[in-house]
Amino acid sequence: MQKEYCQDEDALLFRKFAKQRTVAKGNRGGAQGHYAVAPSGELLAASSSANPEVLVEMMKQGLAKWEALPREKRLLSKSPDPKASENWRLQENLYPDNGLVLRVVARDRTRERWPDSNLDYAWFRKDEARAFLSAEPKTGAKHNVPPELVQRLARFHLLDNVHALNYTFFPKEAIERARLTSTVVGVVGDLVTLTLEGETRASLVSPKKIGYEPKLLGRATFNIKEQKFVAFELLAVGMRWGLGNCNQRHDPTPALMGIVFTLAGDSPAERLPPAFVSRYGW
Amino acid sequence: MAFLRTLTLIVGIILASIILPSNVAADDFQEGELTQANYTKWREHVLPRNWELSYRKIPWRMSFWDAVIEAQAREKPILLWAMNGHPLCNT
Repeated sequence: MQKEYCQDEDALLFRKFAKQRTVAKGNRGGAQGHYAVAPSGELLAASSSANPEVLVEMMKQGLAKWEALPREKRLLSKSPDPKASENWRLQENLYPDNGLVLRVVARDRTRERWPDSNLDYAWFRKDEARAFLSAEPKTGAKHNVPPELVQRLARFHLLDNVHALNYTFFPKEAIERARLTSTVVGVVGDLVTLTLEGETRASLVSPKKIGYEPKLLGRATFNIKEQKFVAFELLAVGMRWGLGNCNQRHDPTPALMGIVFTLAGDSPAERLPPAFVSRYGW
Repeated sequence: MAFLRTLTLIVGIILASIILPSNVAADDFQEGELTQANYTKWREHVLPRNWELSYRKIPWRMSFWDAVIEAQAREKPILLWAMNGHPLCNT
């Protein structure tokens, strides 16, 4: 968005004020940060610090400038086009309405420094979600989740992003093991209750030496009539090692990391695309 | 929108402060491998606490453009939180 070649309307507006600071305390540089702006793109105030006191100072500055700003400088000369965003919302439009949407949280066993957990989402289309259990789910039935789905978890979701977004996902050849077995433990009416058990191992040597080898355990409930999960929880725990790309990991020593997948809600914030959805092959 | 737009944005019409924690809870278990016995402990350890999710209670708009449209109509200022990744997901 901050790149000069991007001519989307939101990017053009953003670049009018990006990288500017009116409160320099704790400035991290670049365009990341907090901005108070008028709809016209007029900068009111800006800072780039995780310190809440700096943020409050910036917001007070912004409100004061807003109050003093004449109306013609507050607003765009013509109303922004709501349809313009359709040009750049290709990933959002992949949201699997009738599928399985999971919230993914990662955290180290030993907490080093804040922030020490991160959040992403994992998406499965309706047919992919159905493939988590056997075609005829009867109590005791065991079923191997299709390898391509487990590999997708291992490649794009079982990642070390505890401290920050990790641009190093695992290529196919890095996946040494990827197995997830569901077992039907009960059927009551339309509800099929499952346990989940499995393991993965991903190991990359070049360009980064990095890996993760977790055990997987979980439980879920699938509504056969509605063809959707009404409960889902999968926990991955194992050793991670190595450093990532931009993920703020400074110590490559192997250590335990846990990742939990739970059903996401349907608020706008819960519909954000997975970081690597463009690699899903959808 | 291109994959992982270099900068993803979220915005709020409401200006609000975020209280950051001064410390975190100590790790109080030592089990390594995941088992049925330590499943709940691990689960509770990894899942976010309420205070960690407090910033999500702010009614953020998911994109800068959404906020520009609304702010223009309501004649309000915008608070924009811009990060690599998305502040509400994988930042």
